[in-house]
Amino acid sequence: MRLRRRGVALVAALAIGAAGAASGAACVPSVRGYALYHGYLQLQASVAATEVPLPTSASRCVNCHDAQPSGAPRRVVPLDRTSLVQPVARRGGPPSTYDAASFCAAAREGLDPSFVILDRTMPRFAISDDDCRALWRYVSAR
Amino acid sequence: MSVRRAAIAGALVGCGLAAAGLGAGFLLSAGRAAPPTLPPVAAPPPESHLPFGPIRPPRALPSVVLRVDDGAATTLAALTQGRYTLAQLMFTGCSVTCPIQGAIFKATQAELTAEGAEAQLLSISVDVVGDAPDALARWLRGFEARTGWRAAVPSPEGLGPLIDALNGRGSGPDVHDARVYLIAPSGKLIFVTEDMPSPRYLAKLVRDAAAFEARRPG
Repeated sequence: MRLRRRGVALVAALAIGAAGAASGAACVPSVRGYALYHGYLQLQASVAATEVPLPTSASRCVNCHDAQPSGAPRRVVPLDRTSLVQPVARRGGPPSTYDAASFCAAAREGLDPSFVILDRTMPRFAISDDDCRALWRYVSAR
Repeated sequence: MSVRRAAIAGALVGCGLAAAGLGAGFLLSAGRAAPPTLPPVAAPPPESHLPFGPIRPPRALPSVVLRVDDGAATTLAALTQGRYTLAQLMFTGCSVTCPIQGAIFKATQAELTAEGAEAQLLSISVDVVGDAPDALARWLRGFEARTGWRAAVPSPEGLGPLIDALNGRGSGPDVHDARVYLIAPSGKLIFVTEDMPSPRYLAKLVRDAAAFEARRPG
């Protein structure tokens, strides 16, 4: 009986420890950013200019920004240090760079740093400041 | 083992599992099937002033054999005869625009019901090699598609003529476009929307088309 109780306590401790470790890891910004980017953590998003809610499986960044090259005429720009932090002319506008604030504005409102509207393929995210900062921290360091 | 040691062991196991899960997810997501290759343009689509809007005169669509999500074989004409059809191009292995297009159709199905507008939804796969009926059925289930929303894949020889008639090759990040095509009960194409149209707009489009047809003399 004592052995059985110890076994139950052991399994419970293992489970709680594992859950705690996973939750703790998700709080680390770089890990959280990775998880948000790949859709392991939920993001609230909708189709641009509509009220159509998008499940995370449809709106996660990795879907488009890490898509394999295809026969399509245009490729969605990968999100990394080169594309975000280096000055780049985007959508016919002047060269611009992203910072955390403009990145979050793009995610929420669909405007790039030169205030050009992003393509409607890009979802519009209802993202918290903490999540956006974590996401920015992850993509700007890639 | 003491409870404290078990908790520490659990934390280490948790980190290991989390890392393994993230790694597996990364590998799985990196290993997606290659997108389909569309056949070359055989018949250039008719010139149009705008990439969206009414199609005047209504455009006959090719008689394409389709395999539907339940495995049945039919034709586009038979599937669209007698009712309004909102059609979109997709493929089940697509991760860029198609998940969004599916979400739009899911919301459109609800909007059509709410507005009392009658139309069927048809998702047409451009992946004639990779998309079998069971894959189409799975894709529909993923969007909780109800009766009235079908998916189909054309025969390999039918894909090119259909894409050309719809002018459906993508100009963006996908091999197909994200527009919605309104097919009249006659089976002819009468309207093409812009990419990613709103469900409310699609329901209004169907209502307006039906009202216009009802007012036509003869």
